[in-house]
Amino acid sequence: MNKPKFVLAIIFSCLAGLNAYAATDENRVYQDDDVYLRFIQLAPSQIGSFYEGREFNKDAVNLLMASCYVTVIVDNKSDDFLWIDIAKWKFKQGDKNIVQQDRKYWDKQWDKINLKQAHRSTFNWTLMPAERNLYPEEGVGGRIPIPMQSKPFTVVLNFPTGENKQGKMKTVRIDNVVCKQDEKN
Amino acid sequence: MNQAYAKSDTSSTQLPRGIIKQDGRQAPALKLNDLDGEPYNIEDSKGKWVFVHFWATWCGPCRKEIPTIQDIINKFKGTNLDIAIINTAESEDTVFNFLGLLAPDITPLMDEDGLATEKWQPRGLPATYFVDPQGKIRYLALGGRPWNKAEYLEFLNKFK
Repeated sequence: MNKPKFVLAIIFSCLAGLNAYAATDENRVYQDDDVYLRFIQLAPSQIGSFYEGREFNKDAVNLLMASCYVTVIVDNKSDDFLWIDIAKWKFKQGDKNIVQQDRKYWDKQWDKINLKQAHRSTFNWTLMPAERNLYPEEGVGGRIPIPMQSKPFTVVLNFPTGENKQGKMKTVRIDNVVCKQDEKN
Repeated sequence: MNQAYAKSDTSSTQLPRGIIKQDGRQAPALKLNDLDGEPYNIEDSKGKWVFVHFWATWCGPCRKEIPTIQDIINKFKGTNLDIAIINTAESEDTVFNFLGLLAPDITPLMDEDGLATEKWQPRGLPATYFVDPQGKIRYLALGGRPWNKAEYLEFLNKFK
């Protein structure tokens, strides 16, 4: 496979009225008093290699390589529960919403190619949990698949807070996210 | 949860960092063969504490943690603490090659289709539960932990 060219360019910003933020590591890390976020973008060949290495068959690898994966690591730096609820994470290109390819979407794809259960399980574990709380100091990471995009897009991450999500919504907006592409020969 | 409770729950009590007390729900079934084909059933560990750990070779924190688990397997062999290490949905070859490099003393249970793992509903991989002698889940470890460090060994010593 071609060696991918690094083209990720993420610019972090906070929504008006939220706490100040600090961006480090060439704009790929966001952190404030409540949350640390790290974004890792993989090109299709890297995604393909990962799943090929886990013995996924060619049909599955081809399907996987056709999508874009926004991989996020989230650490809860606050003193309260922080909730991952990816239905509340919005992917936008201007006014257009980019719809996440959720577990139901992938189940349908896997049904079509009769992917074995072990690989469905492995794939699901590599995704960001759909919904779960994070204890103080706890972290989680995972991929969020979306259709492949040729233009930059914005990700708005909304995190409910509190044991029963009763706290204030924590929001982080990240502009100019791109789907990393493989270098063309 | 108020903020004071949240902080003390993970860092200020006598529990090591990242160990969370659980409500004592019944542990799900765990009946698998190990990498050598030997059967294991968590029912056979009734009367003992069980350290139940789920992992996979592709998981970064698991790579860091697995040598520390090998250390405690050797340390707690023959005690009242049973240790069940479950690989989630990978092939024997993958697991054999991985452990050969990092933790050759571990003979994991093989959850070949990943369904046994799903019954336990881990928060992610790696995941560790402590099951009491009555088969109830009493503690949960958040993410990977350095089990061979003093504060964790002190905690584990309570179960042996």
